[in-house]
Amino acid sequence: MSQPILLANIDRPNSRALSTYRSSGGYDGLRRAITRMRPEEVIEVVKKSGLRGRGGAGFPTGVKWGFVPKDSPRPRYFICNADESEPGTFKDRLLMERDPHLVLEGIIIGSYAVGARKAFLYIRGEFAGAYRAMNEAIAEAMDAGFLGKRIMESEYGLKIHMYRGAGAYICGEETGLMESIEGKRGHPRLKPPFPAVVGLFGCPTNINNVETLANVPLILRKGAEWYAGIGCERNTGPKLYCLSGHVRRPGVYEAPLGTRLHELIFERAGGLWRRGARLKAVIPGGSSTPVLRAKDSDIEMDFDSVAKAGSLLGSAGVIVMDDSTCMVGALLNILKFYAHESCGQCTPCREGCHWLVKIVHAIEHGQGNSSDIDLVDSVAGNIMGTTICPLGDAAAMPAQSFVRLFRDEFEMHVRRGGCPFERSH
Amino acid sequence: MSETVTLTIDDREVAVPKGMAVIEAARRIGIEIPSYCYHPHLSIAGNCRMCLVEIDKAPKLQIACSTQVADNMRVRTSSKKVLEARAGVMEFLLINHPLDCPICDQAGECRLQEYSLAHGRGYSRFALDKEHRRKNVDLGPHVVFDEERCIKCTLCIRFCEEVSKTSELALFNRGDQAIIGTFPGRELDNPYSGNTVDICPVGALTLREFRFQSRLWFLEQKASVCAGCARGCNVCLWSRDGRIFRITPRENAEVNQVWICDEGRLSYQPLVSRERVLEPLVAGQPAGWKEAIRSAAALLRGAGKESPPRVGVIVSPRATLEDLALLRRLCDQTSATTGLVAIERGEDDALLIRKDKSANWAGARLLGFERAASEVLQAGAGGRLDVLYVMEEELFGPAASQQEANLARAAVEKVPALVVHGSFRDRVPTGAQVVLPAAVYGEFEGTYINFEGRAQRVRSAVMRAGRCRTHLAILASVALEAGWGPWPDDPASAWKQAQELAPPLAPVSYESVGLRGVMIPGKGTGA
Repeated sequence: MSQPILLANIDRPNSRALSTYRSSGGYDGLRRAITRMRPEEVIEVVKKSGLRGRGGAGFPTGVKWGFVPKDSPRPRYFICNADESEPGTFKDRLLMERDPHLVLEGIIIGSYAVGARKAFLYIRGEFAGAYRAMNEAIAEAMDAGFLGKRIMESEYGLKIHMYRGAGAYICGEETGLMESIEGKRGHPRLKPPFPAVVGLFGCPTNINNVETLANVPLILRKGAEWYAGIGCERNTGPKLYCLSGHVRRPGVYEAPLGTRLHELIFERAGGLWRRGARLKAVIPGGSSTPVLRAKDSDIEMDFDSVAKAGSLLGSAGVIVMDDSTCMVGALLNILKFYAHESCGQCTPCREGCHWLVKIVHAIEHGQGNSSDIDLVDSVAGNIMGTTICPLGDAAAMPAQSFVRLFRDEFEMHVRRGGCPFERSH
Repeated sequence: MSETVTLTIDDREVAVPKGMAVIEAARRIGIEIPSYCYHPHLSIAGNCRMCLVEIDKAPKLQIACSTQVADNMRVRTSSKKVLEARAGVMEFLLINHPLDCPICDQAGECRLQEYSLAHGRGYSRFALDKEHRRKNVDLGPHVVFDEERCIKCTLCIRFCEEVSKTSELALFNRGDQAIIGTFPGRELDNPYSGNTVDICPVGALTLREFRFQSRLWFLEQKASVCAGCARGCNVCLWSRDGRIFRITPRENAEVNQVWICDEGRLSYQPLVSRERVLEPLVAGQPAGWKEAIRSAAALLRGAGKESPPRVGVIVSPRATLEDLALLRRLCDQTSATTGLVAIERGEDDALLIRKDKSANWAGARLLGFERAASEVLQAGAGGRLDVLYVMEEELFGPAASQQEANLARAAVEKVPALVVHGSFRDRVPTGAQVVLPAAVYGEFEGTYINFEGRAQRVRSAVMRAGRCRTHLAILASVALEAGWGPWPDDPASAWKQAQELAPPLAPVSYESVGLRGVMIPGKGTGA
């Protein structure tokens, strides 16, 4: 097992303190960037590292930074998306609570790279501890001259605003998040225009996930080549995997991209929680990603391999289900979440998510018939790709994959007129 | 000079200005891409997802309302993928829709109905309980909201934010509980609220005054202009059985875009509700037209062509240009002193509403009626007139200023003979010698000139009530009886008279005014 990189600090005493962070090379990356590199060079290094966004889509971070126009007469903004809300995902929270300066340094380097003089940290409202930790870190960094008008005596200055969310999942969607910061309903925007051109307050804006930014100081400190040597081809760097569900030791585990899923489940997380239980299914990337059958689940956990297996790495929220799991009930649980969190703006998601809940609810409770199973697939298909933001897909993907891969269970519910599983919830 | 972009829509090439939305480009070549939330005069929301089209190189379907045209773009508006998505969206829109078309006022102009027919399945796969909502919510004095029929296109919200700029409406709650409503303590009571009903693509917003009044398909539409103020918004008059049932805006980019104010929208109501003068009166007694005309002509002739004049004429700024041309001739025949009644209320606003409530003030000025009514009334009150000929009965209504009202009362007392073109009973003074029942808005045809100098055609939509005649016909009859003419009694011929009297009209033929109106060249007709 390799040494943790992203989580290197979290178990050290007083890990949140600036002094602790400094003692292991903290803010050296920022110093290098600001004192020795031009912003374009920082972007180049991040491009070379191969870092891909950890928020779910896996888009190359350096490329994204390069999209922010340099010649805009308007101010540029930098946003750190800390609204971590995807069910099964809890890695950003750990980073912010235990190593806030790592995240902060990433934000400052990123802001320098895109030329932003104002950054926003949009943090999930429920994350009271992370909010405190980040707040303290910002204050410490201000005092130490890593933030403020002249960072490290350079011409570059940055101010960071914290913004706490009010509990809507949709505000984690980047444009919904920007609307929320602007004080409006968290309604995702039409794209184009993309945030890099028209973002927060109509200005060029870059937005990255917490974990993505936590990688950045390490890249600047140790170099793009060192970083690119971790993981596998086109999927470089360390990754935080969140294991939950029927495992003995649920939690956040760091491993290089491309680590086998069964290694994570059976070695790192200690295997299934119940003696004699058998693995039934795994959701690899947070509840919105397509489910995998046990027999297809020992895959390499990187963006491309998971996609090849028919799912998505997403936020790497690995949800493990053993053979006591009712897949109809599990799907119902997921669908209820997305129906509840649908913003109601566009038709397919607003109407479709609730329809899916109603059908699957009927099947789970013995009111369904066999045509309802195909109907789930068809309704989900009508949502896929027709909505403003990815929330519709987030409900449709599990619906289609559950029905397609576990059709026998849905049929059993219809035949028996109810759920054959013991209810644990 | 705007740049042009050439793209292909359904294998047909089209060149359109850069920046145009695909949905508009398609419309240019007669391809209608269905949509609910798109409105050319409002911002793009892109939420209904009905206008999804296939665009080469785009991995997913794109909405035609927000996608801008690009060179060499290839758009497919009816591929299998598009048709499937469209049918899917239709289905989603209908699962919680009450399908209460038989009692819905929108039936006949409902895009849910239209697109169901064109793009829907024809049967429902939704066998579960629908979400039920309130059916009769007062959003404001004129707009009633049926929550169940709403498809959350947000056109009404955007109208209130962007056009009326009053922002009473918003979307509340989330997911399938999302609902349109007014902010707490507010109601939808801006002067343009009725437009939300027009742009609502479904039966969610209905006009209180039109609700349950008539099926649309029983109504006849006539293109006209509103006579409510000096703007002259282009409208449609919807009528049945000799009655106007509703007024809706008609597009004219130069005048009112696609909007009208609530006052104009409801201006048909008094025509229906107020008591009309339905037959001629002579000395307060019902009389035939022959007798009434003879009396009026005798009075005018009897006063003679004196100097200073013995005839005073109160000119209506709400009569058509054609009416006023004949009135001009009548005044010339009698050497009358003339005065124009000003009908003003409130203030001009930034959108459409003008404080000048007369439809043809500029037209009256063009024909040389420039002096104020008070001059005539003063002459009358001072005993210097034999006949007061009143074409504008609003002189005796609340629209007149206090000073004019006092003068009018004094003049009526003093002048021996009063001849009135009367429409409404409560306007006509009891002492009138001759009352000539005049047609009202919706019963006549002619031309108005709005405050910007645009000639526009007002058209009749219903039969004249009782034995009423148009101003034009009345004036022509009086002239014939008085031995001054024959004068024309049809608007097209009277227009020629107006052209003779007002040189700026010379290049404009009656027909050329058409549906959109025409600017009077070199207009020197300040309102």
